[in-house]
Amino acid sequence: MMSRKRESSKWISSKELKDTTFIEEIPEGERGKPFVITPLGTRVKRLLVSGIVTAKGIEENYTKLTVADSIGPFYVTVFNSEYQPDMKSTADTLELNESVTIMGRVNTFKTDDGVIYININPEKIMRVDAVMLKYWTSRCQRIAIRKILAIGEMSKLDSPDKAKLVAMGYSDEEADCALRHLEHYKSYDIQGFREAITSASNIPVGEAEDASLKEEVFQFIKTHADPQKGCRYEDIVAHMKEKNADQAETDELLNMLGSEGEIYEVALKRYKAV
Amino acid sequence: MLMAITVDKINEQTKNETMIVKIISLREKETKTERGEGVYHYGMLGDGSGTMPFTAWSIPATIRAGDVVELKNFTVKKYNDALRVYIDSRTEVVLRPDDRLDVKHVYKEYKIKDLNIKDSFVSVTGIIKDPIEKTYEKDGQSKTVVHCTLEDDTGSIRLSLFDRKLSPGRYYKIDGAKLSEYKGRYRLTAGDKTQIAEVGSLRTPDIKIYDINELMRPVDSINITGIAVFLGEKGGLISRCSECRKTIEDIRCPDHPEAKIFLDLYAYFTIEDGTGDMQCNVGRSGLLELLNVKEEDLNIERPKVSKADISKRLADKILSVPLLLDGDAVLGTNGPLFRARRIRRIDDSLLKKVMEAYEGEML
Repeated sequence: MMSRKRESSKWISSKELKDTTFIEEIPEGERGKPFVITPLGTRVKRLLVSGIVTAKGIEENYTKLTVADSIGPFYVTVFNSEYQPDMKSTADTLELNESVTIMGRVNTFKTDDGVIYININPEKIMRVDAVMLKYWTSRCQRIAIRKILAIGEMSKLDSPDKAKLVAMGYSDEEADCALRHLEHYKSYDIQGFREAITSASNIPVGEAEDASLKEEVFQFIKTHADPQKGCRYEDIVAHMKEKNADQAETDELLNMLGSEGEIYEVALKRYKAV
Repeated sequence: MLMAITVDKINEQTKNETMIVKIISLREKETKTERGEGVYHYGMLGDGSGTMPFTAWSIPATIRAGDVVELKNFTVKKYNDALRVYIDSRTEVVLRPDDRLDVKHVYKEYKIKDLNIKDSFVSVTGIIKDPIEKTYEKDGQSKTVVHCTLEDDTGSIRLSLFDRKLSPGRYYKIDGAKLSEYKGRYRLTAGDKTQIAEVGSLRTPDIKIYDINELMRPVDSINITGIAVFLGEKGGLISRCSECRKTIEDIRCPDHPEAKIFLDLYAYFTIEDGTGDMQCNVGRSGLLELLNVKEEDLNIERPKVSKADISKRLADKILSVPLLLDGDAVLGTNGPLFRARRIRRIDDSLLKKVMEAYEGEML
């Protein structure tokens, strides 16, 4: 019998899961739970999420948990199972406001009027600390932002082409996600999603709202951008280092300028003034 | 006068052209298909403007490596992302025995992370580290080989220099080095035809973080982050045979019953970072620091740690916490594998460094 590679877990925010409206059909002859396709095109069967326990309901055969990341809730149902006898008792002992990381399978339910509810059936429940939450959030954001950029690039092509995206430096997975997004979520508000995940960031970025530094970044991009290719990210960071702004501050300034519509990304890590 | 196209002007649209080139290398390959057995040739050709690979489905038997030939009606196609000249039965191959041709070797420049065994002669620039000089005998003469590390901003690779010495801490462009694979790792060899020139300094960051799904090929001295979701039960405090270094389940090695047994540390686990998963292993030196164990604690006569104690420490230190791993991505028998040299739990200050190393892709 051919061995099947273990399905690695996807790290996505609660918003990406909540906004999911597409469930893949299970191929004929195959068993198991279906994959869901999220608005960013992520094909998910197994998830790893981190957050704070905000609600807990214990029943005889199952325990329901609500675990909130920095944007919203994940809904988790832990059943009494002979295969994982400790899982429910672990869930039962979790305290409200305790930080957890949960790895589990997605479980879908579709109502008659087409509304999809997704919860997570845990395979692993880990008590974690605040650093783990910050790390998980930062990874989720990075993964999501790269997918959003890939979607932006794919949308600019005359016809979707995975190879072209890979040639630009995106991974196979990011290019596949962009294709799936265009197939299933073409009208989804990607900009709104990006704003939601960035504004909900719980990563301390310091007091970056320095108007003069922001103006410095804007002027540098304006005066140093190649007409076609825009201004290289590395050049902006190097310039801002001379102005005593570190890379994290520069990133924040770029995000602010982007969300204010002053600059935009021509390609991955290349910027132009509007 | 014959109007010939040069190698540097060739592209996929090239048709009905003539070129005069030197056959730099010529190799034969046998094929077996449903239609029967056959032979074709492949190698490199070149002229004063550059070099290019070729495949000859049909070529005169008299042609040898080093010959200068005139080619007419050849075709050009991309194979493995590189242009290649194809010679078939319609191609006219005329030997020019009196001609001499100097070939300009042009090697593609690579970052270390992008090296691919499909391109076996390459150009790489980086800093030289940790040279170890060895002497050997060849044809009755004593020669030297220096094994060192070449590092750029994307990773590092082992480099062997024959009869050459480079200064550690300085930056060099190694042009025309041979890339090969040994035990799942890539290495470069600089021979007498390899051009080496000192260049200005490059930025080589302390932390080079990769997403797991980026690691399809071997690259040394890199970092990955993630959470261990599975810890192998056969790791921990183990006994090894001092002769064959195999793990011993019993009190003596079945193959070397007289050999001494020593205590060792080893762990293997699966790590995930949201882009994929990867098998990792870590040995004694990496675990001593992580588990806060001293060398003398592993004295087999008077061990200060037990199997149960080490297993508990491993679970506490590796599972359910964010980790930063330093080490090498190698090709294992079941796919990419990470050999960790150091494992650190990500705390607030390390998280800041990790985020900075994301090169601004993080928000």
